Amino acid sequence: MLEASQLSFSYNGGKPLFTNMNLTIQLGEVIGLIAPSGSGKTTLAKILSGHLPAQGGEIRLNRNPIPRRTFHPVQLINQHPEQGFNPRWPLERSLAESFQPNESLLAQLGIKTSWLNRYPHELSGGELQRFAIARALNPQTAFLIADEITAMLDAISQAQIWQVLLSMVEERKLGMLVISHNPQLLTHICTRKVSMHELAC
Amino acid sequence: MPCPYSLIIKDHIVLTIDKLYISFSRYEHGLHRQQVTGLNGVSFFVRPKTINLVTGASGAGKSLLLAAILGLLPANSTCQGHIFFNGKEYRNPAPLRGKEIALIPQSAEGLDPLQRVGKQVRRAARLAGLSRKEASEQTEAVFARYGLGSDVLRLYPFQLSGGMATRVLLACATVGRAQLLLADEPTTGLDEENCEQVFAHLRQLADEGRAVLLISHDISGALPFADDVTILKDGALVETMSAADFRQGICAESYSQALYLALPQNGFILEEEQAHA
Repeated sequence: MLEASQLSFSYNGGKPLFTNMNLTIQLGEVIGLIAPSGSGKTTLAKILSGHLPAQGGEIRLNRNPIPRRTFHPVQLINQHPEQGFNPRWPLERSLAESFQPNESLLAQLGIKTSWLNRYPHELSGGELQRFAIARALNPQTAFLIADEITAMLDAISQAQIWQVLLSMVEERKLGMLVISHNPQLLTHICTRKVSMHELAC
Repeated sequence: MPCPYSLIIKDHIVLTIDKLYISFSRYEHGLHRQQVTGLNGVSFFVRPKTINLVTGASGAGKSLLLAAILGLLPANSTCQGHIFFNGKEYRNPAPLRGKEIALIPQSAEGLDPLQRVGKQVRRAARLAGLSRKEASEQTEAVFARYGLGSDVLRLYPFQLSGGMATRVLLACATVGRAQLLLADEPTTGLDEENCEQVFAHLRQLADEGRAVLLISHDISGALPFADDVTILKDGALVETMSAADFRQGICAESYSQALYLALPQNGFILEEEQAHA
């Protein structure tokens, strides 16, 4: 269980983006988060996955603090995959930084083996996003935060990626928070939906 | 349905793409040169007062198409085929760019980060051939039209939200008299309300007489506003059909059908061959 309680955050000491934010994600649960642009969804995603420190409140995993200096059990899949890869590394090396995925996982995600020795700029956004997902599916991952991960994809790739992700979530009993602007998508994939507004009261 | 292209290269068609081939030469393993095909004989057209939604898998060559229309292909590419603007074939798009054909780029990265947005829109107007006075007037007019207050004129791009940035980009593209607007994924990263607003703005521009080539993955969002749908796959044209047909799932090709069924509201269905393609 991933539990965020009383989180608050503001950029550069300005007006707080949110205060008193509470969210609990159970393993095996897929939660959809909806909110208008600029309400801090991406910031929340970064805090939950340890990319940004929480300024108030705390995040607990199974009632313990999140372990530091080791693999972070909450993995973020970013909206902009091109920002998440070392541009000077072939993708194989970026994947290996997390773990060595087996071929069936790569095939399920639609990654062609010929892409492995390419560099990030040689793949399209959608192709790169598949690598970002593969990298986040490390065996030690317990929770996934998906921040608009298929916004740049066509409908078929979108359905393909969600099918793989949802089967992984089920198979490995992961918990997942899905951020998306597409209400139809959330209705289809989530076990429940919350709005940013409800969380911060 | 597409009719023979020799018949439709007429002046009332704003943009006609006829058998466009684009390939790149790429170096692999040192000096071994390899030809990579980007677009493989794509033909379609954009009628005035309409929105043609161009969609397809990523890597289908949608952005290449825009680069070809604007004459901005990289130096290592070869381009064959014909592009007609108002019935005339053009070899050199530079005089049309920004004046007759305007681009609405994907995100705020299309703006100069170091310049106030008002100044950028005025500059776009000047480059489109407006006089200094007209440029100022038109800039204020388009800002008002897109619900951007006069205080926004003085902001820098980083101070804008995604929706505002898109509206500024719309303002840049429409401040002149461009007849053809090319919109490259204008709604990526926007929330539903903003997406709908952007599509509605494009619809309004089309209704006023401009032609819009809209590249978007957001089929469900864009479809209600489009007139025609063009589907690309792996650099080739799959089919062109009316948006009304596609809304009902009437497609001739199995790929278009698969695309339709994969939309969340149509069942999120994946056909076997697609799932393992």
